[in-house]
Amino acid sequence: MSLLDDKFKNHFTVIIQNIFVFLMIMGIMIVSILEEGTTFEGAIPALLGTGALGLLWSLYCIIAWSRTNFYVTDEEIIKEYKFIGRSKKVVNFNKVASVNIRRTFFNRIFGTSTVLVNVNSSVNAGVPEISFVLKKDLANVVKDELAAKMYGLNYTSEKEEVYGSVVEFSNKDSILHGLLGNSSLSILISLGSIVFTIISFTYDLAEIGLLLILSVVSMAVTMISLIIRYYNFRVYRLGDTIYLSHGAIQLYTTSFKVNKINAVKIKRTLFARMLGKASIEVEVVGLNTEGSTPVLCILTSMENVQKIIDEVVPDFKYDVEGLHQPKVAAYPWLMKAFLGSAATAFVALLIIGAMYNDREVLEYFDISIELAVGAVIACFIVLAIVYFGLAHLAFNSHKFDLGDDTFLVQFGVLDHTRAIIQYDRVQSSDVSSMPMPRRLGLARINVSLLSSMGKMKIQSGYFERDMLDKVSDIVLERLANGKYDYRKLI
Amino acid sequence: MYISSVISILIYTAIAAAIIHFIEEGPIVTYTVGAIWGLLTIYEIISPMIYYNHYRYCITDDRIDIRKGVIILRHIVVPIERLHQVEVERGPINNMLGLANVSITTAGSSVTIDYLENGVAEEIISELNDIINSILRSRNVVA
Repeated sequence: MSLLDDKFKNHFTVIIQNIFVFLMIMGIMIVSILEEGTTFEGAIPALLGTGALGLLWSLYCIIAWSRTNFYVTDEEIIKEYKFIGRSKKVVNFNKVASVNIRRTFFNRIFGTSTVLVNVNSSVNAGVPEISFVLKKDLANVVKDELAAKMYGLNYTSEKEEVYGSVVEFSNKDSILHGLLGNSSLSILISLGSIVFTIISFTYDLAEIGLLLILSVVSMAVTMISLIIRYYNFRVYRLGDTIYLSHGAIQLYTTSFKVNKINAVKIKRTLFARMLGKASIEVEVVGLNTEGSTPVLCILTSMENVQKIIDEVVPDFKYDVEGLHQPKVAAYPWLMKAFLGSAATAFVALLIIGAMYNDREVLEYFDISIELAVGAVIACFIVLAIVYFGLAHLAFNSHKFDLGDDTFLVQFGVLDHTRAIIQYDRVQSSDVSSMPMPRRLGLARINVSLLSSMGKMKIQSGYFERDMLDKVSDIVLERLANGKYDYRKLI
Repeated sequence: MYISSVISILIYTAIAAAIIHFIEEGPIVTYTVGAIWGLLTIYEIISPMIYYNHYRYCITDDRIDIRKGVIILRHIVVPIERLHQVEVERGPINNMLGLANVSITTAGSSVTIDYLENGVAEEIISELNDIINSILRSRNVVA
């Protein structure tokens, strides 16, 4: 006898949680509405009003809880709600992208877990189609049973311990991923902030220093939360299902079918490239956990990345390095750098003009006009060098290639992302070109796909227009000749 | 398109006038704002003609092909098999002129075919619905 043989409800603590959140919001509203110095007597009407609303809300929460039921059949999971209106949400297991467990702050207090059922659809991709709260142990059992129904396996969480990760990740790897897994730009900004903080304290500019410290602290918090999140990382595949497990404090266990993957992205940030490492992300609709794309592999060596692709997602194996942009593609990138520099020069001239018109600010800081103008010109020169440097990097980093079942788009300037996309996943293609690239026979392609965030566009660099047009031709050709089989994607 | 351009120019003019009036920073701000206003106005005057000349669309049994743009020329291809939803949209100006846009949504993108006559828009919707239904019917037969 299983819980899934009968209808079931959310754990009753959901009522307490909803009432608590409501009272918190009302409390904040009252505090912000009441004027300073209001006496207790003066606040009585507002408190009584809040009390009455709270009572009504509590009543609503209790009735809504008692009238919300969940059923599970062999083929579908159903949420039924009968109160003021009636609603019945039916989710077929064929459509489910994943069943996951999350433990929120309230879950931890009440000893419960939230089971999230995500559907492979771009609509409300960040919100689970059905979610319910159960006692922690019971939630694990239900998740296992749902997973077994979805994947057709005799699956249990306990079995997860039996299967080792495809690649063994050390805790050092988790720490490295936390430190260098962020975008290089944010790491560089943080490093710059540290340097300027030291300088500002040296020159008694503590106010500026404190602001910079805040940015460093926020970066540190992001890094630490990444380390905690991806601690004890494991990835393995059973049949057609991929399992991910990680987390130091909170355990994240995620499972999804291989055919729900829309694209595989091998990410190599600037610092990761220096160490010869990379990480892998997968775009699976419905797996937008806390606003991040699911990570199939944390920062590790290229050999390990290749091993994971070979064993976990072999359909996305792409051995060809990819074509560089043609030499003439340097011109559009240089044009962008030139336009950026021209705009910066214009702003610099405006600032210099303003300084000559009004010298009060300079006098306040005791800075001579020559020094200020020199500083603005120096900033302009540095920015212009950065623009042209980035144009050079962009020219070298972008790659493109057309394979049999998949194609490759490598993009990014400081951080390189190598996206491997199946033709059968392309929703639409948009080949666009500005006047200058058009004259050179070049264009960029935007490929629309379903992603973990709902939908996404992947943009290539500048390549020959005819080659980019082939993407849509191949997509349509596969539809016509039967290579595309929609049943494989269900 | 020209009506939209006129509305845009009026908005730009109001914003430019407000900036010049409220930010009294001398001639530099006035000339800069004036120059930006001039460029945007010229763009709004000439862009409808260019947009119209570049605009092409084609619907076949397997694809929707759209070419459009003013400065950036785009060639959008949507396989009909990927369609999730087709919709006719009529804004107040389009409605006044008997025009409509056809909005085409796939699972991961959406495109529009703009400024069609009402009858043509309805025909396209009906044609696309027929094609989608025939695809779904063929799938049911296979299943």
